[in-house]
Amino acid sequence: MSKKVIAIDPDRCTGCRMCELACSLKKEGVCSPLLSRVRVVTVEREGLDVPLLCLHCADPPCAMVCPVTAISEDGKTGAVEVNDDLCIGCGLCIVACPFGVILLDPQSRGKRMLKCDLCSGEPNCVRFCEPRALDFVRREKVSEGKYRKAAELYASILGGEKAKKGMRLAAKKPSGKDVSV
Amino acid sequence: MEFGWTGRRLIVNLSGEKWFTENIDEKLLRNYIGGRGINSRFVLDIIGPDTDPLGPDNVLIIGVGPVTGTLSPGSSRVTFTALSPIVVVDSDKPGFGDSNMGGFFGPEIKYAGYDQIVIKGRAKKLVYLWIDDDEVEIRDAASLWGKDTSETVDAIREELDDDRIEVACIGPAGENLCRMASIIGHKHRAAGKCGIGAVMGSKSLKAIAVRGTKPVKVAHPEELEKAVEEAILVLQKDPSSTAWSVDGTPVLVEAHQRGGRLGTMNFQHSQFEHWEDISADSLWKYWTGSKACFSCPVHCDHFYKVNGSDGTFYGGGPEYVAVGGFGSKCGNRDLVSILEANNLCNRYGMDVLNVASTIAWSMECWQRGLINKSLTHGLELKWGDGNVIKTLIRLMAHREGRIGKLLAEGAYRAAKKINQGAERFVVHVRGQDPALSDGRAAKAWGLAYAVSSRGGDHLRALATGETFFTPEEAKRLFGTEEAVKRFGVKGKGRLVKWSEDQRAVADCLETCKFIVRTVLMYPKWMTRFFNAVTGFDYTEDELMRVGERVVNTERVLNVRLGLTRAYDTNSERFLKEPIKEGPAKGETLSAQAKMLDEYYEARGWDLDAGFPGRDKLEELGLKDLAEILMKMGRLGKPETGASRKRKA
Repeated sequence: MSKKVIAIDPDRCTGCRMCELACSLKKEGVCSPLLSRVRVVTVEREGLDVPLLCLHCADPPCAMVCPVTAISEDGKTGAVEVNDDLCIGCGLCIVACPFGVILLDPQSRGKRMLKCDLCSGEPNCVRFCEPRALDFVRREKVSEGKYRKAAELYASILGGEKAKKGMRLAAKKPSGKDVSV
Repeated sequence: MEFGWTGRRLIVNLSGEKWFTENIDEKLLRNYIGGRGINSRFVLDIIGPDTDPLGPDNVLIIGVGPVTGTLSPGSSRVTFTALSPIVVVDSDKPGFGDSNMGGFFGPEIKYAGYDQIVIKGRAKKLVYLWIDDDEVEIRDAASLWGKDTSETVDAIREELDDDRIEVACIGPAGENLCRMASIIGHKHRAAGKCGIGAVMGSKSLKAIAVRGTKPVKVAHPEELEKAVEEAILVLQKDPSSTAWSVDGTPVLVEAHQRGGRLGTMNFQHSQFEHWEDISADSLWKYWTGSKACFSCPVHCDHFYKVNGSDGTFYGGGPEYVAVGGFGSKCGNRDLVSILEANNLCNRYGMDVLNVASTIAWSMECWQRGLINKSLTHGLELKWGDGNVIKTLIRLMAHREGRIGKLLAEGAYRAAKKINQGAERFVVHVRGQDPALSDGRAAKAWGLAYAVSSRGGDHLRALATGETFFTPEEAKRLFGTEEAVKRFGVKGKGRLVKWSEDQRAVADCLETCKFIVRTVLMYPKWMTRFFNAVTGFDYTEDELMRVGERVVNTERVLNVRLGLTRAYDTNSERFLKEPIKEGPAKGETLSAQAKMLDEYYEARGWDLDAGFPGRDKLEELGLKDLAEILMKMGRLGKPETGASRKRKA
């Protein structure tokens, strides 16, 4: 059985940042976007919100550059994790990470880096992502959402539907007629 | 008060350019919880009948709630409170007002370490406030003068070199003291009601910029997670909430057309022939997707992108009040012009509701020959002309020309100036437009408009219970099944009272009413969120009691400013003119007096004057407020005299 990863679909993200709150609540016991391992970045002119978090690379550059080999893959979950006991807080991993999703603890409580560890296989961010912009899926399923969407696009063009709307909300659109307020 | 709240208040005096912080009295937080509640209690001691809403003695109070900034759903709200420059309570004396905004500004205040910010005085020149956690700075804003809200946010973020700074600011409308000016947060989140942006403008305060790094502590993280998870599942199963998640408030264009209550041509009609052109389905041509406020699983907002005649433009929203306001209410079927109008209002910092109704009123005056070309500089205020709508918005924001100066006062005051009976066509409650939904076609809504503590408004009660409670629930809660029949009269007073109390709780927690609008409106939900965050163990009744306390406090505030029963009323059009067509044909609000009696009785207020009685105030722990009214000779006597006779 392949391991699971967090799949990101920025198209679905509403920018509510509940993932940030769920993350900090589980990891730190408080609500604080700054202590979250996931960050939602808004690209204003496009009206796009992009959730970013560790992608748990197969060949993680962060682990390669770590001078004290504090970063390694968890055999069970496949998460690339930082061992706080070994970490010296040098920040080389931040430099190496192509996505900028390793963060320095802003409250400088010691040397910790903030980085997603998949919550030991039960990621809290996914649990609270209502629009499912974040989904916890097996590796072979990561592309599924995308190719299904492409299929819907073909279907809607061939079927003459209003493409954008059909694609985005086919599954969720209610009749609207029983709404009385 | 270790959890949820910060327990801190920031007080800024712009006159002396001084600021300090203080602890908020624990008792105040226990009794009023936060946001709207603590603001209303605080403002009571500051404003009086002689305060000038646009003078330095008025105060602008900003409050967030205990759940703001947490995972609790829809907890992004923030309330701005002041004496309103548009609401009237007695012979045009100003009334109390507040305005609520979602988005991202509220949570940032919490993260900076404050539950409340009080802004007093007036700056000598245009300034903005920069709050960086514990550091507060009053900064020169000369270079921001005249900038729209979007440009202001960009300029401040650039100046302070941090693009995550949250900014609430005014545009040209607020600077020019347009009475319909709003405060805009995050570029398109609006605190629109009550002319609150004009109050900010009168203080020469262009913007409030905030960056916070402090976490919010949660008493019971696991219980909060459980409650939120369950709430999301319940919302997802509710067709009405799902419609909100997909189409947002514009779904009401269709719903209200079918219900016969889509305000059209200044409420001369309640059906709009071209409703399909402005419906949510049509908006999907321009919407790129759903958007949410901070910590909200309902995501009723949208982002739109339009290739218009003047190039591409984009923005957030629009809400039903903008779509219907610049659409059906002005007889306009051109959706692109509606989106442009929405953008203009957000950029100039103007309330779409009050602006749209003022334009609709001016168009009716044109139709009736009460406004002519000499006043409009040749502009023809014809129904349905999108260009006229856009032009009027520009003129009002800048107070330009005779018509701009006149309409910037709002329809109610403008009508008094042109006279000739134009007042008859202003649809308002105490100077402010109530909503876009016709109050004649759903009686609880009509009654709620009349009694709202901030003048014409549908959100104080948001009487969705009229539709969503079952007949059995209506019988149990309000004594009669008629309470959930929209043309019925009985039970509406009790329904509105219950709704107002429940909605006040939401405003104190600063939880969005669109989270607790339907399936989550049962008080158990907010009780769970509140207790999980704060570690309190309030019962549902205790929490509802807080709501009742807030409503009564605001009533005392308004009574002290001059409010009497005579001002708890809809305007003539709703009271006397029957709806002309559609499913609600023939309906009026002629039963308003009867419903008011029931409402006052449920509230423990005087039936004749509408003043709160001593028993009710003392029951709510508001003895001091009873004394205030007593001294003024305005304490209600619900159990004696004419009141009792009327009841009998």
